[in-house]
Amino acid sequence: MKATIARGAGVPVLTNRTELGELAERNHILGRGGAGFPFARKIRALPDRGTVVVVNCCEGDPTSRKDATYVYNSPELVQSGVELVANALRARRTILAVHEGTEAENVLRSTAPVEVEILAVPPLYVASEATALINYLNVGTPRPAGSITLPTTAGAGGMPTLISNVETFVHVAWAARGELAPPARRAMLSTVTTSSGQQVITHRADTAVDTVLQAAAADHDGEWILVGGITGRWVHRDEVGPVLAGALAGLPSYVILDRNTCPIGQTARMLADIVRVSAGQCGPCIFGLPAIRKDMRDLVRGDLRAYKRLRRRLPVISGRGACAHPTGAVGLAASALEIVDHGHRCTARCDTAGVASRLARRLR
Amino acid sequence: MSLRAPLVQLRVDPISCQAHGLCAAEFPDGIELDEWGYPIIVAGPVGADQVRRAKRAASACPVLALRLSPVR
Repeated sequence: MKATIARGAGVPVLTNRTELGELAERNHILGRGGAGFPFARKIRALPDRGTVVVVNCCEGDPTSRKDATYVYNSPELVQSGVELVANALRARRTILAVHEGTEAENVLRSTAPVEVEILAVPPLYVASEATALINYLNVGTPRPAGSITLPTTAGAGGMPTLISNVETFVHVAWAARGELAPPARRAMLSTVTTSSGQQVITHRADTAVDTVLQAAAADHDGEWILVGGITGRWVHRDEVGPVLAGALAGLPSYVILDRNTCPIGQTARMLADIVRVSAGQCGPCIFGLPAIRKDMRDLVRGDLRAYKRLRRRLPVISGRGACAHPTGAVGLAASALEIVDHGHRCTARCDTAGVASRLARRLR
Repeated sequence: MSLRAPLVQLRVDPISCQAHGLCAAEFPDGIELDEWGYPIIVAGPVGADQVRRAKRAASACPVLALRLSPVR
């Protein structure tokens, strides 16, 4: 049974996959889930009909609220983008994936047309990873399945599957109306988190990060910013401030660390959560992540050997899981080591300053 | 025109892998074990003179987690 979505009035139509691919290419549409994969290339890997379209509204990273904002504030816009893509691809199924029990699930259930399925995903961090969503659809197990077969080749039910972040579909909707500005001037949502709470700021991609941070948290004087989500990296406020927000890769999310919190200590605490949410399927993740978590804790106490263990272990763990989880954890840990390397003078009294100077002495 | 065998590389499925370590024992030049016993495949295509050993390493895996596939 063909599930053509009824077209809302006044919405432009793309009649086939080729037109959708051209629209995506002309407008430089990139995936908005954090990886920035060129959307046109994904479209072109699909057949002309019979695709399963999965719109990822899960937003598993707790530091990001842009997707929830689109869903709550602009459900028609989301729907418009989903319709355009599903109709152009002659989709056999269209699925909105969202974490169960969330407000986003409620909104989607009340606004989605009847032909669109809502998939309530268990509230697990790795469940929203692309292959995990497909695995959940297929066999009810929300765990990453590895990258041996691409979803575009065989995904949900063994069918070619397009799975992309909800904001990517929003960009398609804007592009079809001629409202998607060139990348530098594009409108974007950034999430800024501080100890007082979380705010979503709308701004252009050519806005400096400092302007975004000021708009959200004018009175916050923290030095260290976590950029890109929980598996992002630490950047000093002075270095990230002048950078254009749209020039940064990854999730548009910033966590301003309080001045009295050490970024190294915070990394150790975050690694504990990163360990806990692992799917626990791959050796480098099962064993490697707890090891680097312990090393990071020891490093906070000034253990030079822990620094060396981290330097040895991080490259070994990176890239060797079925999904990007261990790689992301390594990225976060590596950026904490960079802070130590640059001679961290901690306002929260960690002991890593000793590590940096002892390393410098050994290198001389 | 010379006939050249296609380039192949070893890839491990990290989900199936259970760290039996037989692969590394069979092909130590191409596979190292990390400190937890899991294989690290030496980067790059397998040298022509090593292909047979690489195939034996893949067959040695009790859970068939290792495969030799064409370089993409």
